[in-house]
Amino acid sequence: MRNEGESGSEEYSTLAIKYAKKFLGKIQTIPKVPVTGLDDFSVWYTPGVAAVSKEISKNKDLSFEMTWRWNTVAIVTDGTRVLGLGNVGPEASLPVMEGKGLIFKYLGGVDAIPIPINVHEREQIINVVQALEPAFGGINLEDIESPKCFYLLETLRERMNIPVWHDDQLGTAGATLAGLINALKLTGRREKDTKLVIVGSGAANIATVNLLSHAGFDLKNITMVDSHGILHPEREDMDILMKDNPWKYNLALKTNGERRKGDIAEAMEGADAVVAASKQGPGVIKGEWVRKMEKRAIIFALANPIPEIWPNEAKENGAEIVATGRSDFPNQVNNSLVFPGVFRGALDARVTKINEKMIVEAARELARFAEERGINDQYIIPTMEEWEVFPRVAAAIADSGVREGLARTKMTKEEFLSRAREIISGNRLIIEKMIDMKLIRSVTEI
Amino acid sequence: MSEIKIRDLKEEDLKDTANLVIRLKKFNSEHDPLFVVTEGLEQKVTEYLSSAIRLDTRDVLVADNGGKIVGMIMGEIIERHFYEPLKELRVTEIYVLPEYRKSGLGRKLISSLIEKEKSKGCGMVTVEFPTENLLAHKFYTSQGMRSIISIYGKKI
Repeated sequence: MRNEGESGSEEYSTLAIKYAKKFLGKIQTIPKVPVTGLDDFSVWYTPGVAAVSKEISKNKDLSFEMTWRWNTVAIVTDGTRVLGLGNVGPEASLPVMEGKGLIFKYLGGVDAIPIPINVHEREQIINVVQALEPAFGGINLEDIESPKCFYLLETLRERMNIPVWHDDQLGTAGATLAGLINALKLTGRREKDTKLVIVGSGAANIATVNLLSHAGFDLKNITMVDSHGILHPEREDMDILMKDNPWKYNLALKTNGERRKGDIAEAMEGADAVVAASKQGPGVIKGEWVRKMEKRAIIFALANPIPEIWPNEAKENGAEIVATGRSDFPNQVNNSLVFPGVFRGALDARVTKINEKMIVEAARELARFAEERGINDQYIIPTMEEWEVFPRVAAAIADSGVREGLARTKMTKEEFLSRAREIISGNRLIIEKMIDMKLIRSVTEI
Repeated sequence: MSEIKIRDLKEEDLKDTANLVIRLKKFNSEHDPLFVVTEGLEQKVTEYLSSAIRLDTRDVLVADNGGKIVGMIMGEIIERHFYEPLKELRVTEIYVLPEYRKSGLGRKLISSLIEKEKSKGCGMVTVEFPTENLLAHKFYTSQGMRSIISIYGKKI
């Protein structure tokens, strides 16, 4: 049996293989200084460049001003949880990281360098990533298995003086929060009173719940469900969680104030909203369970490509607002709405960290952007086509970075906004021109 | 915390207290295949606990939170024939429900048991736990204890 969404992805797979072989990868480095002959290298390289080195050796921060460091991010993965493929190894992760780099460039104007690494032990990864600090303005951890990813993010955020981000956690959490803010607004709810069910307790949802607690949601009103049922402090596997996944363990202690037990069905009874990021549907969330929710229910079914419940089934059973992870349905909750702008802003303000408060600000800005255009049940979150959203998120991150005292470059929000706009549109122009001049070939020509 | 009372185990606490010990035993089994729990665990644990009510050399204290047993500790008095001190309190089981942790209750259970056994002549306290249980290692180290003997094993 073929599920909806599968035929499209098969077609994309064929094309991706074909183009990978023809284009030989997706990104490259190109110069940004004029080179007209070998003489120029006396400035760009030796002997001239030694003077720049000397300057930076006296003040390391100048590496942000005199080299590409200000705009450069490392995309680091150990290849242990690549997309839905699982542990395919660092080499096989490279095409994915290149794709991520392309999005970084196209939507955020960020130079992002894929660095799949062949070490898997926690402390080894920590050492490698820490050692990269002098070369980069930020670190984007990508596709690393849970719960290792929590440890890495937590430890590296503490130890490094450049922002460290794990998109599978923070990007997804930011986009989810943005969507929820508007969904609650439309259905007349307040964050702190909203009874929310979280289906799936992997990296994305654990990060989402943590972020929601910084955005005014009450953890006692949140009920998390994993493959063993509802999380609660007396569950049999609590000690194992404490040992292996203290992040989930802590949320099991703090959430579910009502002490509900059971599974998804029991959790959903009387709930206002559900955020599911678990396994492919349909049928993970049943229509009859949606009927037992509060009126004007909100369902985020984010599994890709098949959501936990099809939007029409959720709506037929009384859901007022449905979001998915797919672009062919309304309300796509997509981390690509978040990370390009987040890094643009983080780099522009040269922040040392991106903390939860800043991510909440970015999510609020995303929500505000949609609100300005008029939110309704089909439009609670901006779409990827609304390019102005990326500089807006950038300005929100940079500005809150300044207010949090984490920024090394201080400007007004307006200044950050226009800088982000300029950099992003400038990079897009380069890509357009290269296509016009056939320096980047069109896919029809290969 | 103030409402949690630490007291001796009574017959009527057996079921709840056994549940805590079962949790502990199951957690131990996560650390080494030689700690795989046996069949009929509940009955065995209950008998083991109830023996403490009768025996003078085996004691169980429970943490009672308004009628609910939220923590327990069990200790044996061991005669040391060749060393001083001659009597050792060996903590064989200790368990606190997750949501009552990090409040000093474990610490309080240990100190209460120590007080009780001191009066029976114990001059030292030891505790046993699976080598791989690093959290336990951290906890007891923080209580001023150190590793004083190693037990190595294999299946035969």
